[in-house]
Amino acid sequence: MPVLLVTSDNEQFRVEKVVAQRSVLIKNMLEDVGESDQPIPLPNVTAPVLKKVLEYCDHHQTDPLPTGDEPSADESRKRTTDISEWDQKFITVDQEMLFEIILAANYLDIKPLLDVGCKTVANMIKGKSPEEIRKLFNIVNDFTPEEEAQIKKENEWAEDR
Amino acid sequence: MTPAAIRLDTLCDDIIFQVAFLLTLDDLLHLSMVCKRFYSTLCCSDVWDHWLDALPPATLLPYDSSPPYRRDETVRLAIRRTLYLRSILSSSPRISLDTIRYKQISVPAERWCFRIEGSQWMFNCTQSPDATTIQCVNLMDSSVIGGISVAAKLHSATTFNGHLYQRNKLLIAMVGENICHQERKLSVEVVTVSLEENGTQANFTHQRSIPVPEKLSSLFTRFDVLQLDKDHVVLSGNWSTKTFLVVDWKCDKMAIYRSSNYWRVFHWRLLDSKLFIVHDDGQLDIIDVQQLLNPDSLISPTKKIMTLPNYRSIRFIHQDTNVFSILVIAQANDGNLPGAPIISHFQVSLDADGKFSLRRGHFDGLLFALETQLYLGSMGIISKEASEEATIWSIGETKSLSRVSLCLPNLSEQMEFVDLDLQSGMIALKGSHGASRTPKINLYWIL
Repeated sequence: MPVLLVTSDNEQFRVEKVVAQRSVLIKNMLEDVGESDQPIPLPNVTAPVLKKVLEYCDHHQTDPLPTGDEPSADESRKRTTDISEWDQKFITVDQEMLFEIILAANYLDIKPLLDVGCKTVANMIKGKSPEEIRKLFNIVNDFTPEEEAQIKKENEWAEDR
Repeated sequence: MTPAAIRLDTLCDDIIFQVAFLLTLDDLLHLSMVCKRFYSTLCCSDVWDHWLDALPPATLLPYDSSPPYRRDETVRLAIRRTLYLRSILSSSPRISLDTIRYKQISVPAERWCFRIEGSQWMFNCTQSPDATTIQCVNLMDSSVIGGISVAAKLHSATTFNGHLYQRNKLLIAMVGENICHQERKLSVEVVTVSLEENGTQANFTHQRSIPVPEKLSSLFTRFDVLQLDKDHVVLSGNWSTKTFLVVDWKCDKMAIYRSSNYWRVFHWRLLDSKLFIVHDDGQLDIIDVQQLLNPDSLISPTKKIMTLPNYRSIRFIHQDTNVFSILVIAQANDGNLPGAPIISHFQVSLDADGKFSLRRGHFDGLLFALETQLYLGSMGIISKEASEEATIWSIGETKSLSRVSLCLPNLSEQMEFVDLDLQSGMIALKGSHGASRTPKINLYWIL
């Protein structure tokens, strides 16, 4: 049975229940309201982002759902670059869309998609200096020169290794 | 690239942490240096603990100059520093003893002998040519609540000690010395003390006077330190003799323990029938005193536990049956952080087969304090910060040290810490102050 999702910009998406239920948030909402034709409002997600998220959910609709027994952070760290080929292609988007997907995955509670997004950001940070990270993510350096000097001093040990 | 409306630095903390957990330590450091938001968010997160946990416990091994090991050690120091910053950021504000209830007692320094750990009872002694008078002082009001005279002279001030073995039941032991026909006879004098419920009266009973046979006492130039537990009295020779006399005072059994592998003993402590000995290179041995006293025992009484490189100060604490805590202040062996003392906490436990196992305790950390102004107490450390200001670092069940700053009236440059008992809420300082300039021990009891 299809489910009707309504985005913040009032666009409607009719999707298969099995696809929509990749989102723990939607799954719980469906369980709470039972069988219903009522549209499900998603006020924190825009249509272009939901379209992208649903593309992910559709592709992964047969994957086992996360059980909470996921690998520890240690194991996860070892697999920073371990993103499947399809996911990698899927997540090759501009930065704004990447962060929108991450926020949507976090809001909709789609852990595997959130992991893919975070791994992508971690891979972008990998091997870069603070200045390179600022440039890449358009972040303003709000440290005063004195604060920056102090932090550099605190982290001198890292340079000497 | 088009500037994004949503940027990395506008994402919520949870997402930043998820990304941070996926980074290597270098990348994590770089991210924390990008902007104030990341610095403060990451500094107060547990992403650093994560790295500390992933590294081997460095102080369990001798220092090694090989590059991979040195890298681990440097990283460890840096993480400790970060944890320290975190503890500062999350610590409680400075409090003054004026704002908390406390009781201050002064005891003349010459009357101070030893305080029974975990209690308010202090014992001192006075000498006459052929007897020693032992007195019990209630340190809450400095009143003398009882005493006894033992027919022997005290061998030396450090061969007089006590142990709380039950609530209100204490054991006192001293090495007695008698000159008989120009010959020196040594004995171990054991006294039990029973305290009245209201703490106003101490009843003394002289239990035993155990002569030390000439063949045993001749192994020692003199006895250096006496320690005791419920059943045993242990005496050490001076540091270079490496020899210990172990006495089961209830059964009159005696044994000698000599640690021949090292050329001197730096520190030792008797706790719950276990003798903890730290040798000159930091090697820690634990000796089971009961096995030592039993010549038929097939189990070797000595167990080598670990090496404590560059240690400066050590404290052993009996935590539970067969569980011991070891607090160590060591000097960081790293040029980048000269002079910064490291505090390490270990737990040693003994299983039913007589095997000791060692694990890291709740905290490893770097302290930004002058090593000379640190005092290692029972489950905590106190350091002098400035005039009338001290910081107490207590080691509890969390990975971070809980830190509190106190304004201690009369804490001057010249005063030194002589006791810290966090369980009893007591801090003791020694020094001269006031018009008399007489050395005094100032005790602060936090009520």
